[in-house]
Amino acid sequence: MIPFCLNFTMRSSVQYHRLLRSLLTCIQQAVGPRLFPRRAVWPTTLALIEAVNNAICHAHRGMTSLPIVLNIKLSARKIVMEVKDQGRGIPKEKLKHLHLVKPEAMHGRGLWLIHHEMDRVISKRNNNGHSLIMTWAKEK
Amino acid sequence: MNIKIDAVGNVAVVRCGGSLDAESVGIFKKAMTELVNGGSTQLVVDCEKLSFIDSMGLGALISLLRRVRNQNGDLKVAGLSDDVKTIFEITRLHRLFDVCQDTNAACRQFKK
Repeated sequence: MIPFCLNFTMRSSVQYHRLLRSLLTCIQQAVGPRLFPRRAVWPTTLALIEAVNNAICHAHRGMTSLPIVLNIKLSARKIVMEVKDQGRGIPKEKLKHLHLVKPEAMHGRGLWLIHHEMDRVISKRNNNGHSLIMTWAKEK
Repeated sequence: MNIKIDAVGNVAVVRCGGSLDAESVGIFKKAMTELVNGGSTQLVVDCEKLSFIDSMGLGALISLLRRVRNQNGDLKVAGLSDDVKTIFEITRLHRLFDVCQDTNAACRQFKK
């Protein structure tokens, strides 16, 4: 099985959401169900959108000129998506003690959804910013 | 996203199509502000043609719910697809909203 990899850079803007919403569907249709099972399209799309929302709203705080770098890698066993931004990242404590906000709260569900939909989520800081690496495993 | 609003008696049925996410949430909020400012407080959000929702879309629905309940009204959601329903369940919002099978059932709930 030949792995698939896509890397691209976008501005910090929700104007790319239309592209992002259809991106994983298009990849799934192109590579087929062995490399990208159909059941993975919804959870990966949701996680990708939420991660990009975090980068736009929290990391870059509306500065649209800052870049967001996306890496999507498909292999025999997993789908890995990486969202790189220039923010400070998610505080370790927040990731460690992730909890669902009260039902009436209007914000704060994005990370919860990412963690629920993906099998592994890693937050990494580096000199240039932050990466959120999300893995969806084909075998649970 | 596209939004179409119909009146069924005293109930305003908000038919949402496409995606309710960070890109479209501004359009939704603006339309709902106009609707509530116009006096509508009994709302059904018909999600039958809603293909995607993210946490910001959920936030907009919660904001609307709070607003109409503060005015002694209510908001019911109807026609959720399996994927959208799953999002409601993951975030436990199915306990906050009255989730109805379809728009007719939601409108009937208001008449009770």
